[in-house]
Amino acid sequence: MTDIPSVEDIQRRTRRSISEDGLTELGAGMALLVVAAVMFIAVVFDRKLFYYAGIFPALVMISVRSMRARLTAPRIGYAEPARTGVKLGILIGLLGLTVLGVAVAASWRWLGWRPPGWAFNWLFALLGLGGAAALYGNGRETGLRRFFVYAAVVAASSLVPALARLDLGIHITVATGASGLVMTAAGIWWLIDFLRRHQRPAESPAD
Amino acid sequence: LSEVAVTAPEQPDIDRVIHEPARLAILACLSAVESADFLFVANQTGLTRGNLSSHMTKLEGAGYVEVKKEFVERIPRTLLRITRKGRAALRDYRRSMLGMLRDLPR
Repeated sequence: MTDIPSVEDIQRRTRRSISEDGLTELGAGMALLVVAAVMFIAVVFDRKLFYYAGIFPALVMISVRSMRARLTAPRIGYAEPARTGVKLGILIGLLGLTVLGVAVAASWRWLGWRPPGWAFNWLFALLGLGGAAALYGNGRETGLRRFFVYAAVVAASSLVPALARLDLGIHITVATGASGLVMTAAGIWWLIDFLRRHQRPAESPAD
Repeated sequence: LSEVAVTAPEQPDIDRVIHEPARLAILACLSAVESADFLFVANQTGLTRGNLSSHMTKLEGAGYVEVKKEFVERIPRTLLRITRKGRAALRDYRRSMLGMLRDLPR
């Protein structure tokens, strides 16, 4: 190694390597599809299966980690992504918005008022915009342009139903369904592409 | 001999441990992740396992990197992680280099 490396280039390449296998969007997309399915069942069949929507994302996170250990790590090595301040800030912001929404709804009901329907649509749209911002940030950090596309899809699918004043159940179904479909399909595509480009080495990856 | 005292030019304050390109690449790579294994760092930096191991010894000796061994599904894995001291050293090194280059005559 004789060239002086650029620190920024190496950092960007490293972050890109962690995200390029498509498993992040595959996991997020599947979790969103389950939320969409649960909401669809609630809207159309009036059956509330919300526990599944809560449990499934945790299961997806575990399976993504496991798939990464089995598929990605033997090919390019294992790396735990950095927990940066920006990502943490967005996550705390999203959680704060959710808690705020629930608190406002509870206080309104406690006072005997009925919150206007649009308030929750816009709260959900704000959550969607927060998710889109996180995806946009990931695109900037890694240089992977596909994350900008996901950010645009998530932002549009969260905002358009709010502007169209759709029922909240339909709004959530459309937003999570559209984003989930795009991210799952893209995740499968990029995972296949990754496996094709990085063949499993013949020798054991053990150190 | 002339009695004029010859003063050595002031040496810039550059960390020699990081100044080596391979070690700079290792630290830059580890600064972008929480932790990574040997294969990942070797792939990202283009170093062979032997080279990487030798540079890691120096970085570990300086306290810039810590090495943790663990078993994942009965397979041994060596996880490398940049320490707080390592992050500070990398930040200081960049600052020193940028300052030095800025002061260079065109």
